Amino acid sequence: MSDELEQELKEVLKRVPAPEGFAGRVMERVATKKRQQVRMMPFRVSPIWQTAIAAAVLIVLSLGGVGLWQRQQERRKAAMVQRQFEVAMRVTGKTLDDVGERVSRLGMKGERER
Amino acid sequence: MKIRNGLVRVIVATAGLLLSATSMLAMGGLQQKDELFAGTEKFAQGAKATTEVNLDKNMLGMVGKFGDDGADKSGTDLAKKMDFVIVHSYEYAAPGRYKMADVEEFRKRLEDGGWSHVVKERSETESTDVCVKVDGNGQFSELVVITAEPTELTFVHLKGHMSMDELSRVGSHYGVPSVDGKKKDKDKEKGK
Repeated sequence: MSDELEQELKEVLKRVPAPEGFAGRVMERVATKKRQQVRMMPFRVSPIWQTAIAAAVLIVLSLGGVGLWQRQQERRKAAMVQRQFEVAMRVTGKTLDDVGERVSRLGMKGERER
Repeated sequence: MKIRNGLVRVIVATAGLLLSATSMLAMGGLQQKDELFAGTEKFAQGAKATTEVNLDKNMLGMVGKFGDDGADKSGTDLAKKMDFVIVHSYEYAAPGRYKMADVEEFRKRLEDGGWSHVVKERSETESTDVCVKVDGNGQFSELVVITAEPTELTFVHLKGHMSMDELSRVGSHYGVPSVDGKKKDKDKEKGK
């Protein structure tokens, strides 16, 4: 019984030589897959263009950042100017009001003296 | 190597651009020169409260730019008509903290330069000077107010084309009751 099983196993597990050119085909497929993995872009771009695109992205991002920062600074400055203008107008209005009151007071005093 | 040099050049150029933009912004803080009130800073010594405002035409152009002036645009409209606004105001805790003779020095400057004295009032402890320069349309092109009270000293210098009515309206817009409003209140009180 055990001899029979042994024979069967030997038959099944016996060394079978690979078909001709099998190793070559496998190596070729591996190389193709590697090449596909390395290529990041869907189309080929020359290094000069890659640099130009990187530079353009850098410039656009920088200018956008500066623009945003500039707008924030301008907004802050405008708020400060607005406050100062309000203070100036309040002081001017109050001063002119006081002057008007003083002048009318003096006018009434002059009329009474007459 | 060439490509790397090109990239370095681009980075340097971008950094230069950023630096110039920042320095241009930093330069935007210049103030209006005012020979009439040059030297008033000395009154700040011993003052309890000091208010100093100096806005030139460029800065006045920013008033209401981001809709900070509310629905009423009278302040923004007036600011656009003005060339500059200069205010120096000093409040003192007690009388005698400044010399009237020092104020006189600034009043003398108004004697030359085609100023019309609208109000000139003197008493022992107080003095008021309102001077204007009027343009062809009857609007004043420049206004100077100097008021000296025992505990308060104010210098105002405005340049632009505006009417007294506009100024009064803007004053009331920013919390000062207009002369008309006060008169009405007083009339009401008399009526009672």
